[in-house]
Amino acid sequence: MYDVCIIGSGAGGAPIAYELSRAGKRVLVLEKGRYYTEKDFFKDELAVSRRDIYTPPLDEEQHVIETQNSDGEWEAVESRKSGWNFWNGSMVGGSSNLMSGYFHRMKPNDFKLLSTYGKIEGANIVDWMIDYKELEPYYDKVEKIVGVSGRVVKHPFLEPRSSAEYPFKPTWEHPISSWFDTACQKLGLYSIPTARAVLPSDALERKGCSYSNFCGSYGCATGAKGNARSALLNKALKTGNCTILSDSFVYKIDNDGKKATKIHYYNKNGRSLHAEAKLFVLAAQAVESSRLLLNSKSSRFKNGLLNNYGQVGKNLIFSAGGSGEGRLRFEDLPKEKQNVLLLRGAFVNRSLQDWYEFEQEGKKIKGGTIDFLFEHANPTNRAMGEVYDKDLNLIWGERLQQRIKYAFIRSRKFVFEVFNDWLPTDDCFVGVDENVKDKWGVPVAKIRLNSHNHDIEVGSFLAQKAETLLKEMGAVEIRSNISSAPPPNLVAGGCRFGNNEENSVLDRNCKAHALDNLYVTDASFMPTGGSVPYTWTIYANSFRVADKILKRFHDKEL
Amino acid sequence: MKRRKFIAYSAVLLSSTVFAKEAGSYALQVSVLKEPYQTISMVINDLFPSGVGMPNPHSFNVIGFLKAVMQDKRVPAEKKKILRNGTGWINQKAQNHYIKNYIELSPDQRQKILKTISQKQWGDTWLWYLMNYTLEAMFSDPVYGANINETGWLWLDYKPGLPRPLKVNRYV
Repeated sequence: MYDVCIIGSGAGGAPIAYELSRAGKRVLVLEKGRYYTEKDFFKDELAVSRRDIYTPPLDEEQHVIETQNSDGEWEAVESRKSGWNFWNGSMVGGSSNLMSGYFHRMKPNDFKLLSTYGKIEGANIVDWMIDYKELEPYYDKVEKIVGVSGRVVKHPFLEPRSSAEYPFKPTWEHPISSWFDTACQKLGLYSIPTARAVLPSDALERKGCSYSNFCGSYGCATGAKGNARSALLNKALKTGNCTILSDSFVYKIDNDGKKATKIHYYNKNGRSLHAEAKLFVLAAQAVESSRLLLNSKSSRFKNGLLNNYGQVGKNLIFSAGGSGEGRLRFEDLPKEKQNVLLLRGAFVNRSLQDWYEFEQEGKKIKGGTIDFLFEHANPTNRAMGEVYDKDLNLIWGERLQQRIKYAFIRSRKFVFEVFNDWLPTDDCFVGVDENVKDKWGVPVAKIRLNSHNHDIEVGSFLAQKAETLLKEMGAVEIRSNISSAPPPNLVAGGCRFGNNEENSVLDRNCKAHALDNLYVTDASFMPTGGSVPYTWTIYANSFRVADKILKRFHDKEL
Repeated sequence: MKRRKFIAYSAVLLSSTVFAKEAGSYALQVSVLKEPYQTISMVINDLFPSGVGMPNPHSFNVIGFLKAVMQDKRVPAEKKKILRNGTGWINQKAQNHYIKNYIELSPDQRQKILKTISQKQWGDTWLWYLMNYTLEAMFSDPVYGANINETGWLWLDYKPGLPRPLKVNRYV
């Protein structure tokens, strides 16, 4: 019997494996995806970005997506048919392998959204069970152990920090970052150097960044990116106390009414096996964690494990917002700037948080973060971005070729991404579809999607501000797209932490209310998501929970 | 262009192409064009004619690549169906207007047909897919059997990221 069995090896599971194995506990990690390492990662657009190599084929494993049509009726479509892929990185280390590594902490007010900004009709907003102060030491720990590079500058929304500076200097920055700084100065804005979970040079027993010009969506071939495998699991393995089983899909958790007792999984050959442990940690990402619980029915939990009050899967959230772009053209730039515009490999590392909170009609409104970067280097996407004219007519022939050539050789798109709160609502949740099964015959997750109008209003407000910045930088063809479409890679909620079983699934330490030895440590616990990407917070909370678990082992509670 | 003449034209294009002999098992060399690839080949010629230096799509094995796409488990069946059916639809449109198939029309007539179908939802989708996969062929790593001699990258002074793939990745 293992001391700890962890389901999922990403940012939610890996800190537990790291801490517990280093403390001498016997740890088993089960990962549904493959075991890729640095030597398996290539800059192969076709495989990575066009054929989604790192997620399961949709005809073998899929989701059912429910959306509301114009008549207000809910329509369910299998993703095998629509191609709408809700999987993220399915591999050891999870989707942290594929992140861009924009690391932002949540702000103190993000932990108390309800009490700070008030109720919003139609949204299930609650304050968190913990405050920023409790999580801060763990944000700090992530900086040092996972490796966060950056530079601290003072600005109105800078979070309190226990370390004055980041432990690693910023990655190599593109000259456009100084153009950005100048534009911010003119507009009276605070240019924030974005921290990155990327090592600028060799450290932490890992290689530094090779500045290959591809980061987001791609696995890191050097290990510079602070993914859960490179940064944590490799070190957990070195203790000799940690076992990682890849290609192992956990489909059921057994319980005896008080404790989880056993997990069942299919291995690579489709054989059903099981594992036992004193304590179980679920971290399969928000959608799949809820799915596993809902599929784990028993006499004590007839509607799914931990779901006697119908809370599992509820209040699913994403990161609201969207993106925008502007084009910087050679003909608008002096010669010396033309030469550097096309420089590849360096990071932009800039963001704005001037409107993380703002006032409208005398009322305090929660805003968000705007990250700035160059258009992704993937060439097919860049070229396909040119096939429609401004009236959305397809173009072809010499005109299209001219546009593609111009896009690559005489201009460069500067883009932004808006992150604001996706308010939790009654109509955004995870269930299971008993009629649709995956290749193992297990019911798939059914995801109902709904966003609150407030999300779009805030996102549009932020996009307008970002467009002003692009204009100041001299960009043309400026446009943005703020929509209710959820980014599948920025997902949280489904197993909220809270005071009691009637309105939440987990307690303040992310332990199940209903069982004594089952924890959920991916983003499922988050009742609200803040206006930043989630990864840093997931890492930090998982380190926090690891301390709670270690204390229980120390106190011989387990 | 008459059908017979077109076939001869295609053969010249294909024989003049330096195909990647180590193309692995993705885009293979195409020796004879049969439908739907005759029509698709002509449409791609019309979408990407020689102009401002872009390599001719046949020089980077676009038809071989499209055939591989049609066999690719990772490409949704619905997309393959549209790709395949589009040739029937465009030929029907050509027949309605000129009582000829698309490949038998004059260049002006073909452009008019393209303009007409691009205003239809199915036509917009079909042409978009053809452009999408043509550009995939042009930008994919040469290990996939297209983008022969990196001509697509060279046209745009595009520098691929490193490390590059050493072999065709079969995805599944």
